Amino acid sequence: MSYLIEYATGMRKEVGSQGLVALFSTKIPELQLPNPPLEPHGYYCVARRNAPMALVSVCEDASRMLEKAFGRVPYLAMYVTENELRSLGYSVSSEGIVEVAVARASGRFTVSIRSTAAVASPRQYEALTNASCSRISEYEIICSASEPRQAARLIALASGFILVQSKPRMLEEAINEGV
Amino acid sequence: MADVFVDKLFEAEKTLREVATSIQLVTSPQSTATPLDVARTARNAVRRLHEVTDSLANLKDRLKDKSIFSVAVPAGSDIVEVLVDSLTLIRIASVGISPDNPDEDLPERVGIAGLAVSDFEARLDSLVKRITGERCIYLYERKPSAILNNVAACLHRLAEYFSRTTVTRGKCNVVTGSSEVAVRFCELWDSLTERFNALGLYGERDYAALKAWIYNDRVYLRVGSAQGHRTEVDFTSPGGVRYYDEDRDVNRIVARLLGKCGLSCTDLKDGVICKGNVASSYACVAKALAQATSMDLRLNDPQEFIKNEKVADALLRRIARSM
Repeated sequence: MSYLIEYATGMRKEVGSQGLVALFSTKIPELQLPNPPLEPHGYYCVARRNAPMALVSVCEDASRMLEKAFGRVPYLAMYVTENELRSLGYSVSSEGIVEVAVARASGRFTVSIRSTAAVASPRQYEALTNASCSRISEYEIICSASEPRQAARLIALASGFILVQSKPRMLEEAINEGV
Repeated sequence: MADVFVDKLFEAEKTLREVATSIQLVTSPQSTATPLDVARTARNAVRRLHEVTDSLANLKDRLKDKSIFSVAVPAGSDIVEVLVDSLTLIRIASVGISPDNPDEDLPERVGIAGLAVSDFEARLDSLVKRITGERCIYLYERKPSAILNNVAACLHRLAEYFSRTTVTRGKCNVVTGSSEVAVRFCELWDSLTERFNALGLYGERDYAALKAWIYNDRVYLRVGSAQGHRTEVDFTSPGGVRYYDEDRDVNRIVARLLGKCGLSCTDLKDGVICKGNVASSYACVAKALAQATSMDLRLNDPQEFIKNEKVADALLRRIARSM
C-alpha cells in the first residue's frame, strides 16, 4: 500500500474534491490519463465519467455521511472507476490506513474493509448496517450488502476510524457511553 | 505511596530517638566520655538531625505541592502542620546541642524570634491528637533530648495511626471508619481502571501511578503519572469533585463527563471543579475519573488506542450515531 501512503500524505494539503481530482490523476496509476477525466461528487468523492451510477451514488452517500459526522477533513478520499469504488483514509498521527473497496455484482455490493489498525467486529458492522459480514483476518472484514445505503454506511463507518483523529473527543464519548 | 509516607516517618522517629539517646548517654553523670567524645557525639547528632530535617522538609514540600503524598495522605494540611512544627522543634534542639554539653537545658524562649518550645510542643500535641485521637507529648523538660523524644513520639503516633487504620483494597487505601459510599466509589473506580487498562486505553506509566486513599467522606485519587495529577472527591453535602490537570483539552472533556453525572462543573486553568451530590451519582463519577487517566495520550493519537475490538465497537456505534 505504499503508493496509497504517498498520496494520502499529499492529501493533507489538497483539501476538497477538486484538489483530489488533480491529486488522484497524478498519483494513482489506474486513474491516470488518458482515462476519462474525474468528476467531483460531494466533498470526499471523485468518479470517472464512465463509472457506474450505482457505485457513484454509494460514494456520494458515504461522502455525505462522513461530512455530517466529521466535517471536511483532509485525511480521506473516495474514487470510483468502471469496476469499483475505493475509499482511502490516512492517519497522520499513527500513519495508519483504512481502505474500503466496493464492487457490485449480481445486484449485491461486496465491501472489503482493510486496515493497518484495528477493525471492529463483523457482528457490530452487521448490527449497524444490516449487511452480512465476516472476518477474513485480524485486519480485514468482508461484507455483503443488498442495498446501496448499506454499502455507503459500511464505508462511512470503517473510514470513521481514521477520521476520528480529527475529532478525538468522539473516542472519549464512545468510551464513556459504550465501554 | 502511603507506605513511603509511613516509612519516612518511622525512619525519622528512629533517628531522632538514636540522637536523643546518644546525647543523653554522653552527658549522663555516669558517663565516662571524654570532652572529645562529647564534642564528636554533638557534631554527629547535629549532622544526623540535618538529615532528618532534610527528609521531613522534603516530605512536607511534596505534601504542599499537591504531589503524590497529598493523594496518599488525607488530612493533608494537618499533616503539613505537624511536619512544620516537628521541623521547628528539631531545629531548635539542633541549635541547642553544644559541643561541650549537648543536652543542656535550653532557655524558655530561643533564638531571635523568641520562640517558646512549649508553644510548639502544645500545638504539635493537639494536631496529632486531632488526627489520631491520641496525644504524643509527655516530656516537659527543655533539654534537646527531651524535645527530640517528644517529636519522635509524635511522628511515631502518626505513622502508627496510618499503618494501623488502613486497609488496602486493590488500588484503594481505606482508612477505618470511612463512609460506605466512598468505599464503593473507590472499589468501582479500581475495577474500571483495571478494565480500561485491559482494553489498552492507558499508558503504562499512568496505570502504574494509579492510587486512592479514602478518609472519612473524601476520596483522594492519583489519576496519572504527571506531577499534581490528582483528584479529590467529596461525599459530604453539598459535595463535589476537584480534578487537577493543566491540559485544557482534557479539562474540557472531564468537565463534560462529570457534568453528565449531574454535577455543576467549571473548567479551570488548572483542572475542573464540580459541585453537587456525588453520592447519588458515584458510579458515573467513577467512570469519568477512570477515563481521565491517559486521556491526553488518547486525544493526541486516538488510533493508537483503538486496538481492542470492544473499543472499536463502541467507537463504531458512536460514529453511527453522528452520521
